[in-house]
Amino acid sequence: MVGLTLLAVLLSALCVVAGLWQGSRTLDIVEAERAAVAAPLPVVEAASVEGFPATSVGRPVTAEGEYSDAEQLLVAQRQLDGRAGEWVITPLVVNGTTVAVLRGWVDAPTSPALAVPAGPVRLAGALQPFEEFYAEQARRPDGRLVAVSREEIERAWGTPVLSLVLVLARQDPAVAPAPAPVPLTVQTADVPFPLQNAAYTLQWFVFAGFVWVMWWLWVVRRSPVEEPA
Amino acid sequence: MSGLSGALLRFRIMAWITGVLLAVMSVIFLPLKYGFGLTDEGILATIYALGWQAHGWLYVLYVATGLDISFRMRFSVVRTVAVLLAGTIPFASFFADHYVTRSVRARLAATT
Repeated sequence: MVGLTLLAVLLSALCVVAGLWQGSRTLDIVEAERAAVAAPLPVVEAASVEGFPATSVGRPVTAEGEYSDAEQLLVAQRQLDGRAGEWVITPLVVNGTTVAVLRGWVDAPTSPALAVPAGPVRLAGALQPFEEFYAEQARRPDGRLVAVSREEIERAWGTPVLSLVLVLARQDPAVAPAPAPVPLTVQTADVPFPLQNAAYTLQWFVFAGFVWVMWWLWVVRRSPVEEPA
Repeated sequence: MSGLSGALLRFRIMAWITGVLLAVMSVIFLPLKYGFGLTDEGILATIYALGWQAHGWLYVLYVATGLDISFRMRFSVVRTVAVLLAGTIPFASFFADHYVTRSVRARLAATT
């Protein structure tokens, strides 16, 4: 009886240790997945013209290329910290792929920050989806976009663009004045939760309980049925 | 002895469900994953993950029914643990089922 009790202590302790181990693995996996999507990726690897994986939304990216001389577009009526203004969308060509870069916010269409840098640039930023609301709305009479609409941007530039927008955070070489960086509207997409490891965590704790159920049945209540004669 | 027959039926149902699922997972899906990498994405990945998760929870039920029948049969601790662990080894639960069923039938025959 003492031996069986000690065995139950040992086995249930092992189950608890295994459960805690699976629990910490669950957290480690989530952590590693978050770290993996937080590491910057070259923009053309994170998305293509055809589409993008869900993990690329909000993903930090880098891009090396040149701004093209296709028309720079303004998106009307965008505020920054409560100040009226517009967003600046400039085509960047990366290895032959045209990327819509949201360079930032300007207060007026006459802003000197609208000058497009010439020559090779290196950008760092994050990917965001195109806007779906008012996506069918044509450009206004003054030429400004109503929304960051993929259809309208492709129509203006006459070329397919990458399926996500690059929201600029840093540019090298930097220019001054430059459009003010805008905050991201969509944060990093969440990563898959390791449900299996989480379930194993719970199951190990259940097994620790079963050890004591068995201890109670076998050690405390020993005679469930009559022994056959 | 209706309690014993009921416990046996519950154990046999769980032994077969757990055993068939474990056999399918280890004979079909493990080679698909480690031999061909076919369960990395798409519908097979979903089935693969669901299969192991289902086995995890079904095994919990298997242990519960196994404890019940083993206690009613007054199996020794070693025998009981062997029956319970059989649910984690491919095909072993079929042998556990065979052994437990034979023992219960012998007991029932002896007491009637």
